[in-house]
Amino acid sequence: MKTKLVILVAALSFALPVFAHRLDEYLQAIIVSVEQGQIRASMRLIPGVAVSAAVIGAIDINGDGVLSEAEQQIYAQKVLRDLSLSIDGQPLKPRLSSVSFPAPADMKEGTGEIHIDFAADLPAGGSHRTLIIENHHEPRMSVYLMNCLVPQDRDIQIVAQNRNQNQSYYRVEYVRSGGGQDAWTSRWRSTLTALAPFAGVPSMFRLGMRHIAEGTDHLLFLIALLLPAPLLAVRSHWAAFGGLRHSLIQILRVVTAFTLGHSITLALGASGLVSLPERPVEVLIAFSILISAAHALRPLFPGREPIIAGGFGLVHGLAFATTLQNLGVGVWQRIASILGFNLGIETMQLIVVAAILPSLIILSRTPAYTVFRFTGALFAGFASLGWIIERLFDVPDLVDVVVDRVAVRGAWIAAFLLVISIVAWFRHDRQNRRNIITEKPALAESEPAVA
Amino acid sequence: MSKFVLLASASALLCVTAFGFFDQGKDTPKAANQTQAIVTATTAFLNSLSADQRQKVQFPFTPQKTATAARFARTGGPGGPGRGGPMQGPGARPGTPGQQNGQHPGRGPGGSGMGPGGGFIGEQYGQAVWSNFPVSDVPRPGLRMGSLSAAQRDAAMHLLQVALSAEGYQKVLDIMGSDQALSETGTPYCSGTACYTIGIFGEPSSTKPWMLEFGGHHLGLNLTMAGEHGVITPTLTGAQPAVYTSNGKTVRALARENDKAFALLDALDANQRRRAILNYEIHDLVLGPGHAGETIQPEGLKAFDMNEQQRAMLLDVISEWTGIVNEAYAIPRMAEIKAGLNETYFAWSGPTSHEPGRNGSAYYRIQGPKLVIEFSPQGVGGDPTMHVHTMYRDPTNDYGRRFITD
Repeated sequence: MKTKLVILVAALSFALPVFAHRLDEYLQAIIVSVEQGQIRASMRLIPGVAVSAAVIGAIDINGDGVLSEAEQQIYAQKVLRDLSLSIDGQPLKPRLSSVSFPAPADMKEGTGEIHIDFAADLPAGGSHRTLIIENHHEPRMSVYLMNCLVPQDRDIQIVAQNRNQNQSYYRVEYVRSGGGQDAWTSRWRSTLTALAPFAGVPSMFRLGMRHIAEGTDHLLFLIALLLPAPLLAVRSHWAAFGGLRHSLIQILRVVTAFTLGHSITLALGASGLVSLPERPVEVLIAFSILISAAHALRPLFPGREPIIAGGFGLVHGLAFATTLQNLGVGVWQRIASILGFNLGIETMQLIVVAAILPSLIILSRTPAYTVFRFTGALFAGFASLGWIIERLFDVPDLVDVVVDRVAVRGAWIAAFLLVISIVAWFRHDRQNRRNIITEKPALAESEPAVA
Repeated sequence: MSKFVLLASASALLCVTAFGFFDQGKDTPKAANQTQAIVTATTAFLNSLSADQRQKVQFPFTPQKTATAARFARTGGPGGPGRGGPMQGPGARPGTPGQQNGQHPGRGPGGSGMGPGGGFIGEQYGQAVWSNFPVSDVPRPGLRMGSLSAAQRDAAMHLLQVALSAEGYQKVLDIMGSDQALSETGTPYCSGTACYTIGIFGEPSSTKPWMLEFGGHHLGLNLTMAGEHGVITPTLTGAQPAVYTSNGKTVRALARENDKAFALLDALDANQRRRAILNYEIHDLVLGPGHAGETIQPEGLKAFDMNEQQRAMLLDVISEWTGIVNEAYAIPRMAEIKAGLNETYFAWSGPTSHEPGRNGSAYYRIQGPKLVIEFSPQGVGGDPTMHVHTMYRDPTNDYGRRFITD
């Protein structure tokens, strides 16, 4: 019996007798503390038995079996260089606070713990900040832990944490209801403190703006719905430009309906009155994009776009609501947060619409618009199909990668589009004049149709 | 007629009063009695020791503002600062006076405890040391079971039985049995039931605060008592191998911690599960020894978003740690946790199923305003289902600090 036990235990573990301790991994754990003007972090590094030789070799440069103070400092600095820290996109340079090394013999047992404490000063910034820490030290043999402490300073509140699969990437978003730098700001701040529940509104506003700016699927739905807005439907095709007034009214109706829809469900969802499982909502959103993409190719519901926008807007709003779910604040503060967040969403939405509106209006007067419309619709259609598959079957695919790459260059694309549309309009205009002079039928003119 | 009514109501009243007096319901134990019982058992244990042994097992009780991480070297006594100062940079820190009590390792070359700070990190609170490592790596203050006679060992185990609940005591036996199974495969460090160490801090008293420590590899119990309060945070449990045979029976250590958590996860609906399951891997404890007083930003699913049945299941998981100590201490502790349950988070990372009869390999964490529990299978090169570390803290009351007013 005892032999069986011995064999069992031996078989269930590696041949090395020290299997109670770390073996083949280099554990690196960082706990960061967010403060008003700086961040501080403490890092533990524990090389496992199998990797200890490599780690010791990296520290003990002169190979004498002793980790001198100089060697310790050099290694610690190297570790810091292998970290990437940034605040609001700006790189931060960490500075070493203290180090503590075990003896090499202990590291060989897989239980030696290296401690590296560091700090970094934060440049002045807004009240909503994003801290990113990436650990690129010895990725092949390491496992990572990243955490942040609940801030000691009550003016700082962590809003979101994101990590990649192996925790080599860690993003912390936080809001500060403080950090006023000058007298005016501090007077403003004390006014805000009197309206304490609403003090977080500006940061919520920014969060809302950011949320939809990153919500490529929401934007894609809206844009796809706007593509056919300046056009008039003739039987089962999209035909010519419906006129400036028509275009503007259509666009206004679609955007307003979408806004109303998602505002309603954002308020309901964020206040906990409505709660739907996340996955069906995500799939429905992807489906809504497919519908609006199809509609941009061939009119499925001409004239009824606002209803579709409003109806699907209700679904999109539920997705917005999940961001506000873990706020854990009082009733008034929650209402104020929802308001601020929604305002942020609407503002960013308006910006996006305004960015492409001129191009839409101008380009839709030209035959070149068909190309643009098709490209946009096909792009949205394929993206939505990819998302449906991804969200239904949990199959990750390249859709997010591609869409994000495009979205990142959004401003450039909008500007490029404007240039193209102006050029196309000029060409079309000149062609028209020439046609009038030569009395040839103009291009892309169609009989007035029922909208 | 009226006399009859008077008589009837008087006797009814009498019955009800008597009933209320004598029927204590589930015979809820009185916490103050409990402390007295532990004091009695501890005194009996101390009386069974020789004067020399008594000197090695009992230390002054020095409440600190916070515990600190300290370094320990394998071949000697603690190399870190003796009075719980913060761990400083590298450099020789010989053992400070007050540390002369017998902590000689069972194996390995003898050492003086001098030299550079060792590799192993433990948490130092006054003279108490909290760690998960084998006692030869991080020596615990006190006496090892192996250095006691049979009668003395019985007295020590009886003390544990009084201090802990029946399930808690069994859990301790399971963990020690697991380490015993480990020792039979041969280890270069002290392992097996003989290595577990008991330490007493302060004078056992039913009014003044004092502390009891029991632990070794994969076990670190700290019981701080102050009058009618008994606090068992911080405590760590663990096991390797998690499944072993003892007296012909298969024992799976920490089985209930595992199974109850999986049951809770299964009881969540898809939306809740999505919130509870973190999208990243967690390979070790975050707030183990050395992280006293730290509170990380909570994640996962809030109990606020669970239904009644799920909340009951969550409390059931928590009770595997809070219920290690005897009922009289555990009941007020659970009440405190229940009060903060709305703000308690349940987070999961890893596979959502496990083989029957085996532990799983997923990490989970339960974090509330006065509670942190972590369950961390250790895939450090072996089978993670056979090796697990857990920890249990109350960041607002580790080492019973809240109940010690001085």
